[in-house]
Amino acid sequence: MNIIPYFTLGFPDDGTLQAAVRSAAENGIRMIELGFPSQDPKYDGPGIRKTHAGNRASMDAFDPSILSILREHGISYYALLYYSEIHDSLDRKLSRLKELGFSGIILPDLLIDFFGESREVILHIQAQSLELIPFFTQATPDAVISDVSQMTSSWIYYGLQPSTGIIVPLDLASVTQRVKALLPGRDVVYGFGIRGTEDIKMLRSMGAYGAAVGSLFVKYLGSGDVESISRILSEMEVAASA
Amino acid sequence: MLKSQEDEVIPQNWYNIVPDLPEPLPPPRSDDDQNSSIELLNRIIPKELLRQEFTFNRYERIPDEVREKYEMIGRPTPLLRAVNLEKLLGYSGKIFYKYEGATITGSHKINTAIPQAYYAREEGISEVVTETGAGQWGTATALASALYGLKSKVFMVRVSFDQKPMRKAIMNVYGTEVVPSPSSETSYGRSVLSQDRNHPGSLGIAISEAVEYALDTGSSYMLGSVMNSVITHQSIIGLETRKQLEIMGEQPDVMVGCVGGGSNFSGFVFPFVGESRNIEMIASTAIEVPKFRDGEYKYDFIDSAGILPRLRMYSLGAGFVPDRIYAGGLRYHGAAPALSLLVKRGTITHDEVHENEVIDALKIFSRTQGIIAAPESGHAIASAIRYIRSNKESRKTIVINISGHGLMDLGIFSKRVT
Ligand SMILES: Cc1ncc(COP(=O)(O)O)c(C=O)c1O
Repeated sequence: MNIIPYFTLGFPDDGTLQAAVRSAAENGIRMIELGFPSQDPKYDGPGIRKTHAGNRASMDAFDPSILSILREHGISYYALLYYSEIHDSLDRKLSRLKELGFSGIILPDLLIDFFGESREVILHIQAQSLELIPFFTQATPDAVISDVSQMTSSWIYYGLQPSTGIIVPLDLASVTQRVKALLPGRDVVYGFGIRGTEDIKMLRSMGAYGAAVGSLFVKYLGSGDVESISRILSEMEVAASA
Repeated sequence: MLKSQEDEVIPQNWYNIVPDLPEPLPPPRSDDDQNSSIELLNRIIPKELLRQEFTFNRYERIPDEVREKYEMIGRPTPLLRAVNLEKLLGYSGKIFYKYEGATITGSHKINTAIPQAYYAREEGISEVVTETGAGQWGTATALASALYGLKSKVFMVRVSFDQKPMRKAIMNVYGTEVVPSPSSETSYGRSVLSQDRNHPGSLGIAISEAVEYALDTGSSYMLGSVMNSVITHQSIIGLETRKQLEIMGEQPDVMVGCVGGGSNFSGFVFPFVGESRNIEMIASTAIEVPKFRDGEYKYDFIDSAGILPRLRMYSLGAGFVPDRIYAGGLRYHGAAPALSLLVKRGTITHDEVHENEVIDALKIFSRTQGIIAAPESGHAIASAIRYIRSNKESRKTIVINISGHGLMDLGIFSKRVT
C-alpha cells in the first residue's frame, strides 16, 4: 500500500519543504500530492488551511527543485487544486501542469461546485493527456461515483471525513463495502483524518491502494521539524508494507 | 416486536437521501484556521448521531426500542382522505393528508427527539439542551428526555416564551427547565441583551445559546431540524405515507408540505424523490420568510453566533430576525442543505403564503376535516388549496403533510392582520 504525503507548495518556506520532500523520497514513497495555494481553501480543515494562508506560491512561482527531487527518485506527483482557481484560464494552467511533469490532478471542488460542467471538464483534462483523479467523499451520490469513475481509469481519491484533518465518527466497514460495490477493481486511496500507523493498518486491511497524509505534517513543517515527518513516514511505510 | 398491528406500517429503517441525490451534497464548512467547528460537533452531539449526519448509508436501522417508542407516541400517524375538503373545493381529484399532529406532543418533532435522546442515553449522557421557537421542538425534546430519564433544558425564543405560557407549562410538566432567549445564562445571550434589553429573540440566537450551554456543561445538544440526521429520522413520515398509500392502492401526483428548517417537508417527500413517476413537490414557506424566493443559495451559519459550521443552503442571512411569530416554526433563516439543493435544481418547487391566506386555509380545514392544524402546517394547506383552485380539473392525487396541530396557537385567530 502506498503512503502518499501531501504538501502545499511554498509552505512553510522553500528550504523546509525541500528537506521534507527529500526525506519523503528517501523513505521510499512512490506518489505524492502537491497543493497549490488557494485564496479560499473552502473544503479544508484547520491544519491545511494554515498552509494556504498568505502563501504566495503559484504555478508560475514556486521552488522548482522540489520537482527535481521527485523526478530523481522516480516519484509520480499529482497536483491538488481547487477548480475555482483554474477555471478562468484552464488551458494555460493545464498545459503548465503538463509541462511541469505532473501525472494528474485532483480537484476537490469540481463535483461539488461545478457539477453541471464536470463531465466536460474531465474530458478536457484528459484531452491534455493529464489524468483527472476522481475525488469522492462520503456525500458523493452512488450514481455520481459510478459515472465519474467510468470516465477514468486512474486511481481514485476517497475522502473519509467531511474536510481534511478533522475526525467525526465513521463506520469504516461500510465504507469498504460501498467502495467494493461501486468501484470494483479500482485502486482507491483514502484520505482526510489519517493520523497514525493504526489508521494505515486499518486501511491496508480494507484493501486500500494508498493513504494520503497531509494535515498531520503541518505542525512539524511549521516548526521546521523535518525529522518528525521523516520518522512518521518511515513508521507508516513499515505499517503499509508489514 | 410492536404490540399493535402497526408493525407493517412503521418502517424498520429510516431513509437517507444523500447517496441518491442527483449531485453531491456540499459539505459543511468551517473557516476557522485554529479549530474546526465541524470537529466541535464531537463535543456536543452523540457519536451515533454524528455518524448518521455524515453517512452515505441509504438505510439506517431504527433501533427496536425507538420503534416501540414511536408506537407509544402515536405512530403510525393517520393518512386520511380529505373527502369534505374535496367537496368544498369542487375538486375532481383526490386529496389525502398525513397527520403528524396526532402524535402525543402534537407535531412531527418527536420523530427525531426520540432517537436523539435514545442515542444520548445509550452513550451515557445525562443532560440535553436545545432551543425552541414555537415550542413544538421544545415539547418534543421535553417528552423524549423524560422517556429516557435525561435532564433537559430549553432556550425558548423570548416572544414565544411571553406569548405561549402554556407551551412552557407543558415542558415544565415533562420536567424540562425553560429559559427565555436571549438569556443572561450564556455569554452570547448577554451580548445580545447588552445591545437590546427587549430583544425578541430568534431561532438563530436560541440555537447559539443552547450550543454554548452544551459546550460549557458537557451536555448534549439536540438538533431540531436542518441537519441530515434529523431529516433521516423524519423520513418515517414519507415512508409511512408510501406504505399507507400502497395499502389503499393510491399513488401521489402532488405532495405539499411547509418548510421551516425543512425537516417535516424533507422527511415527507424524500422517500419519493427517487421514484420514476413524476411527482410535483411543493415546499410552502411564509411570505414573511421567503427563503427560497428571496434567499441566496450560499454557505451560511446555522446559528447567529456562528459557533456551528456553515452549510450550503438557501438563506436569508444568519442574522435574520423575523418581526412576528404567528408561525414561529417557519421563521428560520435557512433550510436543510439537501432540500436546498433539490429546490435549486427545480426538483422541488416552492410557494410563499401570506398569514391571512393561512388563517383562511386553517379555518377551511377545521370546518371540513375537523382538524385545527398548526399555523406552520396551515401553509401547506393554503398552498395545496391554491394548487387545487388553479388545477380544478386535473384529477391529480394530492397529499398534504400536516406537520402539527394548532391547539396551542389559537391566538392567531383573534388578531388577524391586513
Ligand atoms: C408544527 C410545525 N411544523 C413545521 C415546523 C417547521 O420545521 P421543519 O421545517 O423543520 O419541519 C415546525 C417547527 O417548529 C413546527 O412546529
